Amino acid sequence: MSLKFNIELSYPNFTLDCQHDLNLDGITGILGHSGSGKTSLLRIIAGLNRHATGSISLKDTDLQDSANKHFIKPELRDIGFVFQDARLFPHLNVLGNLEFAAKRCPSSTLTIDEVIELTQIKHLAVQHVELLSAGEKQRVALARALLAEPKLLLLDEPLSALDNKARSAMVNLLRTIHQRLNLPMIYVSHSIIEIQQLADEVLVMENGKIVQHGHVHQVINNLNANISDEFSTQTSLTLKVKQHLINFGLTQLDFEAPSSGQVNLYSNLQPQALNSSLRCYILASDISISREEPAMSSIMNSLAGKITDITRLNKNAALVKVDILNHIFSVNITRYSVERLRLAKDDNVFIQFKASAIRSY
Amino acid sequence: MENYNEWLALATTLKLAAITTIILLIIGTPLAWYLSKIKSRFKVLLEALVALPLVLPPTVLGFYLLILFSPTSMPGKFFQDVTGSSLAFSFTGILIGSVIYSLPFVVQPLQKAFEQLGDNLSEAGSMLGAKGLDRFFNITVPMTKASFLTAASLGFAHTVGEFGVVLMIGGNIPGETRVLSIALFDHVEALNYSTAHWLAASLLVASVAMLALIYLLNFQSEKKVKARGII
Repeated sequence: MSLKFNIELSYPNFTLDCQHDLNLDGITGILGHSGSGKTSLLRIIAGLNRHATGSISLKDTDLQDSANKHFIKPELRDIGFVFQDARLFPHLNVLGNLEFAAKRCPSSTLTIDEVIELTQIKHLAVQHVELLSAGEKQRVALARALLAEPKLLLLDEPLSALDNKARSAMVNLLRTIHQRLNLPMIYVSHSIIEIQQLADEVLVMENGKIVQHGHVHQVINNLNANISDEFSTQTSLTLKVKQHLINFGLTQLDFEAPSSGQVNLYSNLQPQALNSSLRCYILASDISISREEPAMSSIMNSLAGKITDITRLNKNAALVKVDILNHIFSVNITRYSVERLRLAKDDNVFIQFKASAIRSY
Repeated sequence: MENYNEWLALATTLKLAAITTIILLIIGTPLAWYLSKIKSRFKVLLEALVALPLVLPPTVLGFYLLILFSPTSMPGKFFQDVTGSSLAFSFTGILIGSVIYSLPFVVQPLQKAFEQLGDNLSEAGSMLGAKGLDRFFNITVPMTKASFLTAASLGFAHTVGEFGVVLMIGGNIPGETRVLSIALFDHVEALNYSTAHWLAASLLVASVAMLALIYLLNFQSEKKVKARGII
């Protein structure tokens, strides 16, 4: 399924101007600072902002075409929306909120019971919505949105009010739902962590424009360090669990894409099921470079690759990009080391990092 | 006989107030909704027009209505041609007067409630496939229930207490336009103080009871909201 849009929206101090063709097979992330226009874009796709001009089409349906004065109302777009502030109906209890959606859904492929089960909110059914915690509210909002059986689900920073524990539970839930229902999602967030964990394709927005798009790891690897406070330069990867070394508390991992060749990586992340995929990252400051293959080292991970780029970060530090089987690793070293090792583009080098450097959110 | 007339005045008053309130809810609700949504300069003018009965002496409103209702004016003539009777000094006449006179008491609380509620929940409803009227009756109305109650009570009470407009356009026809406040005025003019006392006291008690009920309902719904907020 594809979503095409070419839209413009002007406010006195802000102009949104976006055009893109999205392939909605996976979860699409929209990343940007607050005020970058990502929520506006989402609202325009939903039909909640009528002031925008341009065209939007979902699959074969034209949702909006300003040139021909065509505009489909939000309630007829078959698009679901999970708002940042949940927006549960306070005059109804949890079940009432779910029934509100179910009653208005013409098809009934999903039953309320199934969705309650899926989103794990059985214990909340008769609760008053204002007594719920932020995490519970978002679960109910998600369940309610699912019961409308949309063709596309839009999520506007649904995790921003949640604590870390509720956040990671919700990330897992969203992933499960995406797989189980095969429901395309567009997920808006200012948090690279959430985007890294959830998204397959990513759009990066700045000042009302899409400034970058591509596969999640590629986009994150390209981001410069100042996009977000929580973000430091990192290598973002999806790795596959190959083997558990139970006695040592280590997990052996490999790149996910089969074409890229095999490596053995060791991590001490919590054991996951064999062959399952793991979204991980390695901080640039946790990786070192050497000219020769390191022997007899306590550092578990050592990979051979080629330097593709060296950038001076400041007076003392440099960022070196190393290509390992088509995966670009970002390495942060001192400029002194760059000089001492005489590193240059296209040089063959080895990178090294400890098992504990492979992290996951 | 004397007593019968007072009961008739009470019945006329209650009938007038009840029908006025129903009409006001029917026309006041969309008007309040419209006022809560529009953002143009036109809004200020419309708001001023709605609020006019609050500041205008009832006799001024009554005077202009009387002129409009007279068979020599267009609306008055039209009414007479269609129904065969005069609009002035009729129940329909004072009903129209009451609706205009009590309009702000119904529109203003509703408008305020709609503005406070905002669009958030309605947007959530539309993303679940609910259309306009569906959203209004199943989200907006239940969320602003208390304000509807306030608006209806204020509209009703204000109509019961109306005097100047009725006096100007209705006169004093028993069973048609003679309402309680007019009856009271009558008795005072006739120096019939004991009946006047009775009427005045019952109007006072009824008004206090009515207002107390409104505030009680508001207080309870506020308490409910607060209780939810604290936990």
